Amino acid sequence: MNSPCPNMIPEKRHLESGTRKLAEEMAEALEALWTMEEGGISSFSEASRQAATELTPQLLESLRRENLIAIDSKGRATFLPEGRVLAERIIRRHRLAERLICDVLGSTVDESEDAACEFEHLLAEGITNSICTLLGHPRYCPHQRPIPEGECCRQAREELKPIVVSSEQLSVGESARVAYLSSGEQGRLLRLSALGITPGATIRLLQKWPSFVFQCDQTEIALELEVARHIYVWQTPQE
Amino acid sequence: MSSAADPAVRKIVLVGNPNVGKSVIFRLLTGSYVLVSNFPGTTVEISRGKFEVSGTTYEVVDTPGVGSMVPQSEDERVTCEVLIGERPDLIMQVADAKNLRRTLLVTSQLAEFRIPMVLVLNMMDEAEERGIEIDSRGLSERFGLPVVETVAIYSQGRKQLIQAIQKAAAIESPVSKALSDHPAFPAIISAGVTPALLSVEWLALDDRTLQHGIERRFGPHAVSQMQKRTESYRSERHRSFAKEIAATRNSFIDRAAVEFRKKRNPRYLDQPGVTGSRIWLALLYAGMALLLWNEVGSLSGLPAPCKALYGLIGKHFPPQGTGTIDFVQSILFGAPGPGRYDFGLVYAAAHLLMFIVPVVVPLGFLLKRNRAFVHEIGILTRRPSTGFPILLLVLLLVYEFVGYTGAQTLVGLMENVFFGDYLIPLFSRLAPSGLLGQVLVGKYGLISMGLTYAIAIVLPVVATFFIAFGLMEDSGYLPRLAILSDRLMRIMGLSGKATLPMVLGLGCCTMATITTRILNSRKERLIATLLLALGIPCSAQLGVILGISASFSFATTLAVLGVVFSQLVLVGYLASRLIRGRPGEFIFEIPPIRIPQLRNVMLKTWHRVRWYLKEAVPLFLYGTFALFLLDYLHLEGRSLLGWIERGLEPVLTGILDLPPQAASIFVLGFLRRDYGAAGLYDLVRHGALTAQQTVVSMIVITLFVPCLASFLVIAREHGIRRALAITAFIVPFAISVGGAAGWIMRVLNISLQ
Repeated sequence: MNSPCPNMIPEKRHLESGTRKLAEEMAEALEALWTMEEGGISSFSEASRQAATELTPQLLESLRRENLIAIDSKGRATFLPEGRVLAERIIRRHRLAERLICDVLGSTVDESEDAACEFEHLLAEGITNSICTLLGHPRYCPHQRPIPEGECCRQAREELKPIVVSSEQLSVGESARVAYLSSGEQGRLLRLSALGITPGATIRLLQKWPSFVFQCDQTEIALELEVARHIYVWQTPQE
Repeated sequence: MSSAADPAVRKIVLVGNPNVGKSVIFRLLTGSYVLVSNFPGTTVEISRGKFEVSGTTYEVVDTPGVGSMVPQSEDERVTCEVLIGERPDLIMQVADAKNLRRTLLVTSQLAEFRIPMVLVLNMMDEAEERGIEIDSRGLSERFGLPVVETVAIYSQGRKQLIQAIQKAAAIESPVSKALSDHPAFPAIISAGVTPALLSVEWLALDDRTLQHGIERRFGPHAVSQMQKRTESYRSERHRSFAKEIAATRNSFIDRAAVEFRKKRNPRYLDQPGVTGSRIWLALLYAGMALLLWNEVGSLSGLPAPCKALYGLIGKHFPPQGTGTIDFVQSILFGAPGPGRYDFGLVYAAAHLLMFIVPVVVPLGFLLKRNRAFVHEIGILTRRPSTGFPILLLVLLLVYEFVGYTGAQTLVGLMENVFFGDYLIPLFSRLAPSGLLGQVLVGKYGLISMGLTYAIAIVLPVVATFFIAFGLMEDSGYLPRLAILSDRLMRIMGLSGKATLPMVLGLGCCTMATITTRILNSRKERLIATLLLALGIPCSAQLGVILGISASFSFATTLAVLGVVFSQLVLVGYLASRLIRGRPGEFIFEIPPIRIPQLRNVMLKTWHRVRWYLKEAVPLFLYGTFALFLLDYLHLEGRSLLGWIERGLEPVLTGILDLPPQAASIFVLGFLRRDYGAAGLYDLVRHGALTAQQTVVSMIVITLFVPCLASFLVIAREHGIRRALAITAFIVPFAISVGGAAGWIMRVLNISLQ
């Protein structure tokens, strides 16, 4: 689960008023509220039960004072525009860090969770975008929760081809080298690698509908979209 | 297992990727028959055989194919269990020569067992044709094991195999070597489990069965020791040793695959055109056009070449009158009579010539002569735009062959001529007129009913179906259906992979239920088993449905198949909602299109027919005898069968609107589905049922209970509780669907004539 990180340094610009300790706690609270919102939970009592640290009334009050959230009479919190932007960035950093640790460094999903907490506070906005580009603008974290889009994702869609793309984006007949498999599920990874689809292998897309068919070495392999989507490949630059 | 105690017998286990020809090698070594087809997952259970060379007896164990020795499905697990539990003297790894990387993955895993090994590179012809050269001497030197190149399907290389068996030696695992400096390595090795590294991966899978296997062999202490050590490594370093092993293995095989393999241009691309191919291609198109024309013509009132030909034969050779039956005459041109059809051999030949030969002959020629064409067919059959029309064409061909040649011509010939005109009259004359005569040739006689059903009605259908099916299996066409059907199967909570057991179910549900082992999730296996038991008609049933439709109308067939199909989808959909668990993932290897070996197809058909004769015919006879007894024994002035008919009356006449004689079909259907189908065929032929009633009974017997054999298999694979639950669901369901279909036809006044 996406538990908030205890040692996160949020964007200070917005939280200069508080002490460092308070700033960390507020960032943590924002992350918790985002996760709760995704899960469809809107009342504080429930949210605080699920968050790693208590969402104390004081903490929420300070968020409200910063104009980050609004609290209605029943105690439900909603993000104000500024708070939403801030929370989105924090979440994005955290989940990209998980993705990076899980896929590139090859740790398990649980391990990536812990490491991401340590890792993410090192990430400045620029580096975050570089990592996002390197990973091919992934859409989901290893827990299959959506990663908020950054500026780089929007740009990439419009102009540049990203270096790494999901294999579902290849066109029929195109070859590419496998960069990584983004599914955290061990069984699927084993099945794919037994058939030869492992990082470094070259695959060629033969067909997209009704199922994906790839050629890998001398083997033709049929996959459903859901599986193909999680195979990320280095796209060979095209003229 | 008994041989484990006998030190004189050396045990060889065949292991390898799916669909590489392990069973062919098994056949080559032992000479005993096992099923061979061109798709992954043909072998789902182990088979054993023996052979002897210069005084030593070898026991050979054939295992299901594995992608990796870290199992992902039931059939793969079976192979791992054999290796842990049976302590073979030798592992013979069979490999597809063109896929060296996948081969070496398994080699590197097998090496850890420290059992002498032989590597067999099979299908060298295909590798060569695709321009792949393998440095097998280099491989042999590097790994220190004998490497044999074979093309086993042509029975080549038995001598080399036997030489290699005698030279086999245990080899050092390259992955163990690479990891020997790893911090976790010494602790894991000292637990004393072989294979050490593989066991770490098995334990990481959290697979109870494998864990028990290791515990049985090396003691629970060793397992808990290993678990403790990997766990402490994991908590110290935040890394998973299992994953590191897998990564090391991958990088090793990546390097090795490049080192020992060279690739040129594929040979079939060097010489694309073969002289005469164009003419054959034109003939193929013409043949397909002729088939379609004849098909449209015979279903409608339009003129067609086949009708013209039949008319011509009928004009010159009118069928013999019933009075003087000439044997040759009736075999060649059929004999008219009540409920009889055109079944003469001449008509059958004319039919083959009009429908099947024009397509199959040019196709066979092109497949044999033009490699580029084979390659092209592989692509066309999996693309939806061409794949669905091709599927339709294939279905038409199978329909004509099984439904007409089998269910019409051969059944007609056997039932009317051999049994009706000769055997039964002969036995009637020979048999004493008393009770014994009744038992043999009476209404429920062993010959007049049991053997007639088994040999005259079901056997021709089953045999023709097995021939058609064998050709499809060996060509590699079936797995391509999986690609086309994945989306549809998803509605039923299945993946395209489940298409294979479903299609196999048309041959026999019992085998198909075992084949569901190739599916990856428990949920998927359960749904596939349920659907197989519910609505996949076996070949005899399907043949009967097709055969009967010829006597009514094409609409009858469509109505029956439409209802059954829609119920399958509906039940599958509901089951996928109700049964908990994850739906299966579709990751499936598609084998290349290969030219079916006629010898293998005929051998396979022969063995299947023999299996049918051995398994089914006795059941038919017992069943008939039981019916005879039920008819013979009386209670309060009514036969027992009469009582059953009366007991079933509320259901039969009340819900299904069928005549009381239909009771016997359902009694037979309980025993074997095809037996019930044969009974139905008989009733229809004697005009006992209207078209509507025929449709209703066909729906009910298709959906009806799984036959005894498949019930036992379901119980074995899923437990008796699930088997009973499936049956308890199916019986009322089948009757209500049949009842509803009948009711709709009556209300809407659909006659189907």
